[in-house]
Amino acid sequence: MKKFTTISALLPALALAAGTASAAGPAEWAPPGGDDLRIESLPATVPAAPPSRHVESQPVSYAWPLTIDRSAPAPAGPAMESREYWVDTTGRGLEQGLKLPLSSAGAIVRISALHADTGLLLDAERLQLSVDGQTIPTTREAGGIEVLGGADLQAQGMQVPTDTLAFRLPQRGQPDALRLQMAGAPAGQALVVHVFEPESQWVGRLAANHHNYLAGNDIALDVGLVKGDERFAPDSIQAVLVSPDAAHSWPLEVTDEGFGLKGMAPQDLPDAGEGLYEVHAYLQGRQGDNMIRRDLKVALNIAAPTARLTDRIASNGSAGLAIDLGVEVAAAGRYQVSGQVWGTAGDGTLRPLAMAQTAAVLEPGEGQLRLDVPADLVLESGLSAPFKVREVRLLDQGRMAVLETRNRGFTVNRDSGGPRRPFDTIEQ
Amino acid sequence: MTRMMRIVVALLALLTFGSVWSATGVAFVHGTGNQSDAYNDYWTGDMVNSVRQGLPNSSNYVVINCQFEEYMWTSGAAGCLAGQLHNFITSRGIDDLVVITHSNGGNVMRWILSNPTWDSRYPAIIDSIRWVNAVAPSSLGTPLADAVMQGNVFEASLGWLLGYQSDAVRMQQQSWMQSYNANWLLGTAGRPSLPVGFWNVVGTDVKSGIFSGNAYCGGYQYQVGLEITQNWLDDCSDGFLECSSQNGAGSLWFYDHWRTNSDRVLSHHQSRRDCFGLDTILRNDL
Repeated sequence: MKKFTTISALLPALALAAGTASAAGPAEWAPPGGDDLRIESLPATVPAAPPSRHVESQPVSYAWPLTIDRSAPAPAGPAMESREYWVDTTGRGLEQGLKLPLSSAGAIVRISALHADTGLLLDAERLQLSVDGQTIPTTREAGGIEVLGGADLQAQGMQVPTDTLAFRLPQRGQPDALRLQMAGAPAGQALVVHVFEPESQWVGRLAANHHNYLAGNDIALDVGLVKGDERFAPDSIQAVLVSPDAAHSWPLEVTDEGFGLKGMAPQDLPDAGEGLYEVHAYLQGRQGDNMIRRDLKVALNIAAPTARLTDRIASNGSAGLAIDLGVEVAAAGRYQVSGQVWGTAGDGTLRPLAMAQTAAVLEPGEGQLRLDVPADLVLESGLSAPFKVREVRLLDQGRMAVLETRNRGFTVNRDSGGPRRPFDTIEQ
Repeated sequence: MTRMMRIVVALLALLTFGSVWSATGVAFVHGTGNQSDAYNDYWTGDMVNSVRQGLPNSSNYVVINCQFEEYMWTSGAAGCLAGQLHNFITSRGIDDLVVITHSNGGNVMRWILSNPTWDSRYPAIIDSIRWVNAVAPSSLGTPLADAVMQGNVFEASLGWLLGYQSDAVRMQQQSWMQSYNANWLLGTAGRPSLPVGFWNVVGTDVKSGIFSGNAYCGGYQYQVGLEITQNWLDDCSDGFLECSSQNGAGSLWFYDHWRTNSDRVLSHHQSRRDCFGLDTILRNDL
């Protein structure tokens, strides 16, 4: 691609020769879209928000040619499926024995210490298993199942604690329950038992319509148990929203018909470390005498309203595109604006031109960020005004938060000097 | 533009403007883990030294050592990677850089490519990159990360949710990568493209039988846990990542058996070693 870079070195001069090469005129925001995430006004007082963790202090702008993979739409929100569940126990609980519901043969069962490096060394020879009352040998010599340790799974990249035992139950029959018993672990030792049923027809599903929420927003999710084409409302659902550091949780309600969860993002966001909020849902259902258990979670981004885009927008008369966007700031931080720039082709159609991104540290009050597309990029595209800048996003880099998404973005119209295509100049 | 067309353009550019180029280099970016000697511990000297023979100046290479147990955007991860890449390109005058990533290293590299305004060093790095060869990148996460991060918050303390895991494992849970791919990372379906090519090498299967020659490259001991872990994965996987995740961002370069010696498959472990001619394929791409 160096060929283009070399040619590009000539383009600014051509752009200057052409005057305002892009023929960009005044800019205006499109009306709000239904899927936009918008902050209509900032709170009167500084919102409770985590500290900005940005390191960079210099303003930086960057743009590159835009192409978009249209092979599939970008997913609207997080969605997960599960054929597994977890049970927390102790050494005492394991010695007394656990009864674990099964919905299919061939379940994978893992026993791990709750924390790494306990030095516990779970002893596979003390493991006692029975499925529906029938004993399962745990040594290969006796024709039983093979029990692997934590190191075997770690070698595959599965980062379980070293203090782990894992095995697969026989792939035959229609089992109802596994009885699992093992002595030897200290009575108070925290352990977790993980049951995964890869061959089960029962699938738990959890999905949200959006990835991004603002503090205080309503949160709604779809939840249910699915078997083939049928969907079932679980008999029991417990669900919580959990902060990134897992130190805070907020209960979610089950909707009346049993297929949804609803709640509210916390109004005041704690300083809960980096990472995402999570919704955890624990489903329990029945088929005849069989109990079905499924645990699920999805990740959500929840942001404090630390800044917002204002209606102020101005197209700067540069050789390329330079759009100044007003930003109202409540909490100091490093803010980023990005947008997909589309330009008009000779046949009047809109075509992708550039992906533009800019970021700078802004203090509380009225500020602005300039979205810049260099003249050489505009000239290489062969596109001209009117330009549309779509999928405009305001992000808080220091808090890893998505503040606003304006999908219809804004339009940069032709200037009053009338249409001029950049390559008209070159072709002359 | 297809990869072949890009190669043709690059060759034409080399013939036409070769005299103004200063240097081609290659960088090796490791996956999850805190590395201090990735040359020996992650890639092995056999792999690195074979690949770099494809350079006009074989000393123009760098093996990255960073804290990839952290979230991809942190100073210890992307910040460290940016620092080492920036030092490499500026100290050696590299302006034609091929980056070879493995596994989660692809995510950290994609962070830099997707967020050029995050750090003032990023634009110069991006401008120097010809393309990224992403070997088995975990672009859509892995169900194995989900499997080890769960606990039951109603039965134990919430501390379990953080538990013993690194932030990098937490980040590679599937719904977390859904969020990051939708908001912060580019190159997935329906999203804008990255500023440079991100070409995926996809491992499609794992052979673990003791009579399979395929199982021994890189060490047989690394394959025995597959009996358990493969149950979380699709039929098409390298034992740690599903093919859909490996090819979830950027563009497909090749599925392992398309180009490896004797149509061999590459497990997740083998795809960072000189197994079945992978080193030669990467070398010939420089």
